Amino acid sequence: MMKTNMKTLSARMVMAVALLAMAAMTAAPARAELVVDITRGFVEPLPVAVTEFFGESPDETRVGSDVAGVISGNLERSGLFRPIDRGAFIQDPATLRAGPRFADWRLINTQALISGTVQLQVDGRLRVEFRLWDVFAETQMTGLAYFTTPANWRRVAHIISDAIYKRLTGEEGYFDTRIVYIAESGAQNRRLKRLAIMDQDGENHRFLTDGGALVLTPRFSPTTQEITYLSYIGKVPRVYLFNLTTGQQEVLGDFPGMTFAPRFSPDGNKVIMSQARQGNSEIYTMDLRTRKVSRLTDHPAIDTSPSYSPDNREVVFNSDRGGTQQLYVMSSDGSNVRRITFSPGRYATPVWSPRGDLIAFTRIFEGEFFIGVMRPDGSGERMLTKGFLVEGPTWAPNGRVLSFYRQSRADSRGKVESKLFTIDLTGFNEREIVTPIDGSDPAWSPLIP
Amino acid sequence: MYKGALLSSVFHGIVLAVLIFGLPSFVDPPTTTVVPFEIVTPEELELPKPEPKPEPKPETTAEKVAPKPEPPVEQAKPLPEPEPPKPEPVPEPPKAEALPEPEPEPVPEIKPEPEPEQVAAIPPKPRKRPEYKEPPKKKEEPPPNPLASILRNVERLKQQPAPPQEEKPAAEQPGPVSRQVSAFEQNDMVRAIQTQLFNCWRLDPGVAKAEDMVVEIRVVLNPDGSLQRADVVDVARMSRDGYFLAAAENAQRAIIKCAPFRLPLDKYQTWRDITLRFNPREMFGT
Repeated sequence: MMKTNMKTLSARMVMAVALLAMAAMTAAPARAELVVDITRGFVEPLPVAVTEFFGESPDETRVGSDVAGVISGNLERSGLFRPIDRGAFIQDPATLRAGPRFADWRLINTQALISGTVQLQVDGRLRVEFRLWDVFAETQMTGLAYFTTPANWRRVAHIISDAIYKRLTGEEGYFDTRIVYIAESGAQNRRLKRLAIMDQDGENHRFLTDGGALVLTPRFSPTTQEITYLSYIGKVPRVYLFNLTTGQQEVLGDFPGMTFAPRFSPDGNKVIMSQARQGNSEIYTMDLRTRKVSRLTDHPAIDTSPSYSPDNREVVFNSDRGGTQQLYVMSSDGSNVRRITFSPGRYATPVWSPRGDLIAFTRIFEGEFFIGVMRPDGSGERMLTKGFLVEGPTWAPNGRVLSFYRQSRADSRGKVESKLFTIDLTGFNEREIVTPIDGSDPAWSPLIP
Repeated sequence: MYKGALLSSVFHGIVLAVLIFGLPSFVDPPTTTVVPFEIVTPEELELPKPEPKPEPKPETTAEKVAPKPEPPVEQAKPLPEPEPPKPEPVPEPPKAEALPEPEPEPVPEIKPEPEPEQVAAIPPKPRKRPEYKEPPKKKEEPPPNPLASILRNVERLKQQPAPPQEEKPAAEQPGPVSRQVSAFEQNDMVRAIQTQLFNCWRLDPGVAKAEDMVVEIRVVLNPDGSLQRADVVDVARMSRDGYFLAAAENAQRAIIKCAPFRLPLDKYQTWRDITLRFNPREMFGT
C-alpha cells in the first residue's frame, strides 16, 4: 500500500539536485506542510465480522458456533460494534485458518474480523483460540488461545469478547461479569424479594435466597466474589455479607440501630454504610479484617448512600443538610465536605465510576426520576434516561456502562412492572436485561478472576 | 410414677440440650447456594502460517505456541483458581504462553487470487457508502450542533451553547505555500479534505478521556489523491497507551476509508504531504 521509491543517484546527481532545490527555495518559499484539523466525525458502531469458530468434529463445530454467537451478542449489545450478517460472508471458517482474504472482507465492509478454532483435546479439555484482524490495515491485532473444561465454553466466549473489546477500544471489557439483583414476584403489598444472580447477558440465572426474608440493595465487592446487602432477617434490618464461593452469609457488625446502604471500598477491605439512630443517620465504615468501625459524618441532617472514589480517597454521599437532598463529596476520613449538586430537585444513590471520571446518581425532579452522570466536581451534569421510576445505577467494572432498574406506574389492577436495563454513559444504547421475573436494584460484579 | 420420671427426664434432657446447643435458629436461613466459576487458561498466539495458497490446511493453524514462560498476556490469564470444582488438571494458573506479540505485521502474503492488492481495494468508496446514514452529519455542511448528538442528555438542563462557528479551518499553517496557491485556495483544499473526512471518521465519545485523544497523522498522497502512506506522529504513545492506540487506529481507518482525496492536481505540491489532526474536542463543546 505504501511504497517508497528509492532511486540510486550518483553523487554528482545528488549534488545537482541539492543545488536545484536550494535555488527553488530562494526563488519561492519552501512548501509548508499543510496541517488540517479534523474536528468532526460520527458515532456509529464498528462493523465487525464474527465468524463461526472452526471445529473438525460435530461437537467442536457446535461449540464453535455457540462461542461465536455469544461473542457476537456481547459486542452487539455494547452498542459499539455492529456484527455483520453471517450470510454475507464470502470466506469460510475452514480457509480462514490460513489467514483472511482481506479483500473479501472489505467487500462486505468489515473493519474488524474475528476468526477462531475449537478443539476437544485428548486430555478432555477444550481449546478455543481466536484471532482479531484489522481488515483495512491487513494485520492481526491480537490472538489468544484458552484451555478449559468443555462445559465452560460460555465463559471462554466472554473472556474472548473482553479481549476483543479491549484491543479495539483501549478500555477493559466487562463481559466476563455477573449481575446480582433483587428478583421480585407476587402482589405489590406482599412482594417476595429474593437475591438472584446471572451472567451479564442474563444467562446462568440463579436465586441465592429463598425469599424468607426481605433483601435489598445488594452490592458486589469490587475485588472478590462477595456481596453485601441489607436483609430483614428476624425483622431487623441489618447489613449482611455473602460469599458466593462458599455460600456463607454473616451479619456485618453489631450496631445498636439499623444499618443500611452498604457498599464496598474499592480495595474490598471495607464496607461503608449508614447507621440510623433516633431518626438521624450517619456514615460509618467497617474494616472487614479488623472489624473496626469508624464514623465519617457527624451532622444532625440525614447523611446516607455513601460511595468511595476508586482511589479510596474520597466519598460521595447524599445529605439534606442544605435543606434538600443533594450530593456531597468528602475526604475518606470525613473531612473537607463540599456540595457538588445545586440543581433543583433531589439527588440520591450516587455511585462513583470505577474509572473515576464520573459519578452516576438518581435525580428526582418535578415528579420524574432521572439517571444522570456528572464529573466529581459537579460539572458536566447530564441526564441519561428518565421515567416514572428509574433508580439504583450501578457501573460495569470498566466504568463505561450503567445498569439500573425501571419501574412502571401501577396499571388499573395495581400491577407494577420492574425491569433491569443497561445504558451507555453517552446516554445511548439503552437495553433491557431480560430476567425470568421482575427485578430491581442491580449490582455489577468485577471481572471474574 | 415411672411415666412421670420418664417425662421429667425427657424434659430435663431438652432443657440441657438447649443450654448446651442453644435454641435452633428459625430466623436465619443459611443460604447455601454456591456460585463457583471455572478456570480458563489462556495463551497467546502467533500469526498463522499463511501458506501462500490459502489451502484449507487443517493443522496449519496456530499450533505454534511458543512456550514463553512470562505471563505477558491480558488480564485474562491470571486466573487464580479460587474455586474447587474444576475437574480438569489445569492447576497452574496463568499458563499464559506468550507468543511473539500478536504481531502487527502486514500479513502480506495472504493474497489469494481475487486480491485487488492492498490499497487498490479501498479507493472506490469514498463518498458512496450508503450505510453511513448517520445522523450527525448531513451532506456537506457540517451539522449545526455536533455535540448535541455525541453525548445525550434527556433533559435540556441548559441550552446547548451555540455551535462553534463552522469550521474555521482551524489550524492550517498560514505559512507560505507553493507559489500559485493563495490563502483562499489553500482554504478550499483544507475544507475539501475536512468535508471528506468528516464522513469517514468514526469515533467513540464514551471512552475515557475521549476529548483528549488528539491524533496527528502524517499523510503522503499520490497525485491521483490515493494514499501513499499514513503514519501516526506519536508512535511511542501508541505502544504505551491503549486508548490512544485505539483512537489512532480509528483515525488511520478513516483515512484509508476516505482515500482517494479529491483535490486539484495543479496544487499537488501543496497537498502531497499533509498532517491530519483528528481533534474531537470541539464536538464535546470543550
